[in-house]
Formats: sequence, structure tokens, C-alpha cells
Amino acid sequence: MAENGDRSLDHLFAAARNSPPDTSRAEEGFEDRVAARIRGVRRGRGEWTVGAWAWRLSPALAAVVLAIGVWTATTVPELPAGSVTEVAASWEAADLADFLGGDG
Amino acid sequence: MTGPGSDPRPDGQLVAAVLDGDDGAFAALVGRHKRQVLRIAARFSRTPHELEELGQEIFLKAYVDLGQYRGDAPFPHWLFRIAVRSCYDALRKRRREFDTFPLDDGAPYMADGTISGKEDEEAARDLLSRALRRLRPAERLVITLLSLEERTIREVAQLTGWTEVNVKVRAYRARRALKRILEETDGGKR
Repeated sequence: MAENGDRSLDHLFAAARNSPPDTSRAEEGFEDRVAARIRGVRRGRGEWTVGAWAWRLSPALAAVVLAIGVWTATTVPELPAGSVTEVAASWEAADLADFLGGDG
Repeated sequence: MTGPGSDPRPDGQLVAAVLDGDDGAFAALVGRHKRQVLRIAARFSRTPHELEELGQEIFLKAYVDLGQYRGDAPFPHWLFRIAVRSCYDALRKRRREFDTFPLDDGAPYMADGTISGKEDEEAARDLLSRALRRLRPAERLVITLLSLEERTIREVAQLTGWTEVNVKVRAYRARRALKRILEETDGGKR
């Protein structure tokens, strides 16, 4: 029984070997299609590279923005509320007095 | 650009030319080895479209990895190894589809084991092909390389990266599974 199975299987393999798959249609112009595929992949890879670099750099860019924010917040002194108006007003009054007094 | 069929340079020179940026040299390599590659790919493809896809994948991978080719083995061996591994990857990707593939006709060839004539051979190949689809990817790969491509155990081990013992075990299991599948088919027909 097992021998029969083995023999049948060997016959099938032998027949399949005698009748190899016909690849002639696939072979026609195959080089051109492979070349086109390679060009496509290369183009895609170029676009991917730009995108990938932008994506990879995004944490660094975010860190720079954050650092600038922190630096601005810690180094520029905060003016008390209303002081700007007062200074401006006093300057304007002094300028007006000088002008009217003929010093301007 | 030189035509792929007419380039007289040996494989090693063509590889060097490709690495120097000569895409025409790669077309020559494809033209020279496409039959061998497509033939092995056809063993694992169900449709012309699958064959085309798998064939292109193999050469694309060869192109990308060409810098790794050291020339210590003939270029066709290196390429065939890529082809075998790509076929195995393709088999594993569509593994789940195998279980439902029907085996309908072809049983008469199992009954007495005699196959004669071109039509019988093609029918036998078709039956075997459908039975092979029911095997696990590794078993199918091993039995195809051993029994259809007539490679030795050692060659299959080198091509797949598995040990020789592993190849033998998988070949044994593949034959046993195939016999069971074909006997079930044969039994169901009578």
C-alpha cells in the first residue's frame, strides 16, 4: 500500500519533470519590465528619503522651538502692568513741553 | 545600451558594471538568467500575474543586494538562492489560501500509476501542483527542489539555509503528506 503510494508519487514527479512550466510568455520583454520597476522603486525611494528626513528631523525642530520659547521666557524681563503706558505718556508730555517751549 | 541577449561579458564583469551605475548591464544579467528564475518562480505561482510579480521581486532583490555578491560562488547560484528564498517568502504570505484549494480531477493517474503522453503528463503536473499547494510552505519548497528541480539534500540546505537533517525531515513529511492527500483524492473518486 505504502509502496504503491510511493510509486504513484514518483510517477507524478517524473511526469511533472518531463513537462516543465512554460515561461515563454513571461520571458517576453521581462528585462524592460524589471528595468521599469527598478526605476519606479528608485524614484519612490527618493521621495521617501525626503519625507523620511523631514519626519526624522521633526523632534529636533520641535526641541529648537521649545528652547527658543524657554529662552525668551527666562531672559526678557517682564514689565509691570501699566508701566509702558506711563513711560510713553511721560515722554509724550515732555516732548510736547519742549516743542511748545521752542526747544524741539 | 547593449542588448541584453548580445552582451558577451561574463557575469562578474556585468555585476561590476551594474555597481558602477550601468543599468544596461543589469538588463543583460536579467536576460541571461530570467528563464532559470522564472522557471523556479513558476513552480510556486498560480497565475501569470503571480509569476510576473514574483519574478520581478526576485530580480529587484538581486539588484538591491548586488553589492553583497562577493564572486566566491557563480552568479547563477547566488541568484538562485535569492529566488528560492523569495519563493519561500511568497508561499508563507499566502499560506492560509492553501487549505481550501480543491483537488477534483486527476485521480485516474493515481489509480494505476501509469502516465503516458503529453496530455497525461500535463494533467499529472497539474494534479501534483494542486496537491503541493496543500503542503506547508517549507515542505512544499523542499519537495519541489528535491523532486522537481532534482537538487541534492546538500544543495537544498545551502539554498534554504536549513540544516541537512532539517531538509531530510521536511522532505519525509512532505512525501507522507502528499501521499495522504493523493490517496484521499483517489479514494474519493472510486
